[in-house]
Amino acid sequence: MELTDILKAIINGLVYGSVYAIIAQGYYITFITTKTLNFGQGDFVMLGSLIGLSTFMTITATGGGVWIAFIASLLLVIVILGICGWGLEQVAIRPLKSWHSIGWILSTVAVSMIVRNVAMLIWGRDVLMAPSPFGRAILDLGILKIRYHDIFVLVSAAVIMLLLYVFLKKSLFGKALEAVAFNREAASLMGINPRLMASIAFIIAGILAGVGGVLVGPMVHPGAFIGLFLGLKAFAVAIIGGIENPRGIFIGGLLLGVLENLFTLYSTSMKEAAAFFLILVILAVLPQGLFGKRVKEKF
Amino acid sequence: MIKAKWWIYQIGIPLVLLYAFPWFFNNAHTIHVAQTFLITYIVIVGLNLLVGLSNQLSLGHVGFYAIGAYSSAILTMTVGLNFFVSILISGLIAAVFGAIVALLSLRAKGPYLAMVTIAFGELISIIANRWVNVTGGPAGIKTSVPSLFGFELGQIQYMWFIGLLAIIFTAGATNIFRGRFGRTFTAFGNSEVASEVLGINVRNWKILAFSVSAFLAGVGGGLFAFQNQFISSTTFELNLSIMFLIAVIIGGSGTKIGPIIGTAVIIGLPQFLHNFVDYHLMIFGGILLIALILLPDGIVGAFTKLSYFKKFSSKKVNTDLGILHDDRKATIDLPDGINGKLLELKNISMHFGGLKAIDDVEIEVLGGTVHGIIGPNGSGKSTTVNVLSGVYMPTGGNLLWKGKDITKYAPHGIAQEGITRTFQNLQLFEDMSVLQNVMVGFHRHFKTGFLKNLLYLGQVSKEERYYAQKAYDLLRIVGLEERAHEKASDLPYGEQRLVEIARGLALKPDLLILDEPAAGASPKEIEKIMDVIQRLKNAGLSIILVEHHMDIVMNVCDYITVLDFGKKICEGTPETIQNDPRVIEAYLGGEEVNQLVAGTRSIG
Amino acid sequence: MLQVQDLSVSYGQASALHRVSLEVNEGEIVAVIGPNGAGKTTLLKAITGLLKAKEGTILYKGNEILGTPAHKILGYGLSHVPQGRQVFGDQSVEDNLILGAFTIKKEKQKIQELIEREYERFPRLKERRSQHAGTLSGGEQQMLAVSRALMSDPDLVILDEPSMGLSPIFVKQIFDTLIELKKSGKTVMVVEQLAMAALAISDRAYVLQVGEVKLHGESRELLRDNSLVKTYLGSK
Repeated sequence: MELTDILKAIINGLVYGSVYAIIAQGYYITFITTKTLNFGQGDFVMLGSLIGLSTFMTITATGGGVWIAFIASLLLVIVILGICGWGLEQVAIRPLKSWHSIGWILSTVAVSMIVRNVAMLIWGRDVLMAPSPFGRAILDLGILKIRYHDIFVLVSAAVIMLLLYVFLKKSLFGKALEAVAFNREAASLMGINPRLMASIAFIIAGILAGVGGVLVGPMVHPGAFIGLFLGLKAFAVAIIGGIENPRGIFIGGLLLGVLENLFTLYSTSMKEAAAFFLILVILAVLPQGLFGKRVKEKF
Repeated sequence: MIKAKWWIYQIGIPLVLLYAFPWFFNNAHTIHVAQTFLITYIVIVGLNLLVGLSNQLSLGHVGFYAIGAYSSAILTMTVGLNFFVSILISGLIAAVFGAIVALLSLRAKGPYLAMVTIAFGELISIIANRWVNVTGGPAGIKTSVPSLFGFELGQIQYMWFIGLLAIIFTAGATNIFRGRFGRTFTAFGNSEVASEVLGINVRNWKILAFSVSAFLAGVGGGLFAFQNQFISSTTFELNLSIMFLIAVIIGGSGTKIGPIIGTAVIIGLPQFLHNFVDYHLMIFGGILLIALILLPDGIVGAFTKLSYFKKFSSKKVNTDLGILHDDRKATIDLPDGINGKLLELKNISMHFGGLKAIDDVEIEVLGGTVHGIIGPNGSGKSTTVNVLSGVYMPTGGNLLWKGKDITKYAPHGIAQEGITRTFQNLQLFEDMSVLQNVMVGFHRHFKTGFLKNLLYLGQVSKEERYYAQKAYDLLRIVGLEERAHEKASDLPYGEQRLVEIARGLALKPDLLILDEPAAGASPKEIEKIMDVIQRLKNAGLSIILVEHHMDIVMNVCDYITVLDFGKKICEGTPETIQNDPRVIEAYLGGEEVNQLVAGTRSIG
Repeated sequence: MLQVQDLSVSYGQASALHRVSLEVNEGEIVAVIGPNGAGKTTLLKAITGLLKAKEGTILYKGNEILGTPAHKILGYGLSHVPQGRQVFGDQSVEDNLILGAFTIKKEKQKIQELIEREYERFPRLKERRSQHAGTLSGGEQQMLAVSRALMSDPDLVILDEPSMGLSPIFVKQIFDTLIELKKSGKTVMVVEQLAMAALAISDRAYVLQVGEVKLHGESRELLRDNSLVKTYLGSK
């Protein structure tokens, strides 16, 4: 095995890992505000990638520029997936009697089935080719060749994390969201409506899934059935990092991405198994994930 | 004792239906669906035990199912065992994996627990997919036509065979449901900490619940392997685990007939929808969503709420075990009293990070006394109780029980030594009746094992009746015999506290810790609770009483320890305490504060 | 200003308050005292909508506010400092104050003025403005909790055991603040376990025991009443 292979695997891992991390931040935001999350997040990612692809193809086919097409598709995906997130909270989270039961797992799965079916009716059952706005351009560094799209994904991930950080820490709504997460009751005494915050959390989660989908599209072959695998990976990342710790999730994402791709050097079957084996080992030792807080229960 | 009615409903009618089925629906497709239904049903019965009774989540049941399928295929085809023997062995192998998953997930909660089970299921399906030499991967492997005693089972015979197993497993599950095992599963599903302080080793019981559930999934997988004489790794995917869970929840988790209905939904619906195959997922998802919103307790749960169906209410275990309602005086069964030092706290500290919840506290509890622990909010009383009952392990100091060091004991270990407690924030087993709650308290006295309970032998029903009677007697002592068969969570607060006391007494404790037994009770209920404590004291029981209502504390306690800011500030008889300026200061504010606030003014 | 009539609250099956009636008049400091478990916190939570009452009425400036959800109460000019301070520990001191002004979020200028006013009230908070609230000492957290509640410029401030776990110096400081608030025209309702100190600064007081009002009257009178110690330490 050569150094280039290892370097390549690491870069590839960072790229995938950062996409997982973006999707997983959606789990974080809804979990801290409502103690629930969208088990069908992966299908939202799928929807994002397919809507993005269709918009991109339509605009470029009618003679629009690549970058106009890309930005238009990104904006459209943000709007539609934001609405999807809001709708999900309305139909699958809010009507349930208790947030503590496991009902929300199944109700969000139910919504994801519907989403998957709709996608199948629109885009068919097969996977599609999604071009990157960079085409197939490659940056040649001598020992290493990197696709421009990969660099773009890494930069975008960093930007998204930064935006998310700014939103949570600097904007009033972000502060209110964190306040609800920290102490629901005290937040409502500040005049913050926890239900409204729950809606906002799900809207953001939807948007993150959509953006993740647009970025991941050219890396995988998007199709109606790719949601499960992406959602599962992102969920694994959230759990490894500690679902209530956004920085942990980011690190967890990169870690899983890199390890997975390093294992691929040995065998592709080990890649898949390694992720889940890793999770079992981590959770057996640290049941709150690598960076999760341990809480002492009081009786 | 098993009644004739049981034989008819549990065994007779299902057998007749099973036998008659092929005469009404004699086409290969329907029989095949019936086989699938029965196989899935067996898996669901097991999952219902886990999810419904013990409140554990599994999104990885497909793993056990796959393990069962592949091991029975291998045992039959490669080792050459009879298919039935290999299915049973496969069930046991799956059970071992169940135990492993339980161990891995012991401390995980909520989404973390979900992830552990998902990861297990995915790991198994990846192995099934990739280990082609053994599993055949997606291309699959062939199995044989099932045969028993030299006879090959045709399609209909195989359906009968699966049905027979389903009936046997159902009977076993019903027996488990109504005996002490079902009760213990439900108990730790409702409240782990309350189960622990009653002497239940929750870890072992979780392992048992996972193993039993995995066994049934494994057997189901084994049966599946011979249904088409072919298995492929494409069957064993996360979606199937989700389907299993949907069946449990839609049917009504924790109910006895829920699995039948739930299985019928997930197997039957696709049959009805086969003309709309393109809209299949959408319709399924829509129905699931509506069901979850409109029927949060599942189909069976929704029906049992209607009064007509109330008598079939299947969540309740039959506890009318011939209890005597005579005028006999109910007596408390207590161990012999001990004089002298019973429990000693030696320099006990409990620090959370920088917070010293209790710091260097020394208390001696003498046998046969009521020892009060009081103090203002945040003084460390609850922490002390949590340390004494083993819920917290102290960060410093030693706990001596009759001279023996029990500092490092887990709560169930401490309960086995004869110490139990009640909870300030009630920890009743909400899905159980009042009587069943108390019966769980007898946990450490029950003798019958798992197999005997599975068969519900005479010994088991005798034991059940014996302890039901004893539980009833305890309820008479606290004055709740009328409420014995009501759901515990329907009682008024004060009475729920009395149920907790009765449940603690069932342990036959040497020391009973009462954690704010009067909090939230009405004045009338407080009188009742005080009377019960007084009578327990007269009967010679040693009690630690943590309480805010000073009328109770001052009247009942022999000796009182006062805590403030995690430290012992004084101790003595009630008279000493009432007149101690340090206590008045702790409760009403010190001279220093008053003078600071009001200039020169002081207590008038 | 605030009129509570025959208020009953229960937690599930537990009765926590039984037909409690009390009044707070404009410009007063009213203390509610009583031993632990008497229902003091429950009373405050029912007033600000954190708990649902079983029956009774709560009139604030003549309007029925019973059943109004907690997040709307602040809009009426009624602010609640919860027990145990409950500052947002992961956020900075200044962010906590900004969250206190969530209901007037548009008026940036006013918010800045209010923040300066609170920093003047508690200079300690200014020193620690960018520190995480969770790292403050108990006394500083209590100051922050009070300041945060004042950020919406309420007419009535209700405080739940502001002295809990504080050293005498901090208690003094918090209680002085209450007197200042009264002087500046605000109305104050305070629940306390430090009965004597609370009576010393308040105009009138109610003594709660096991969910019922046992005594009420002028604080000066209650201070001389011997039965008070008995309600706390019991009688034999």
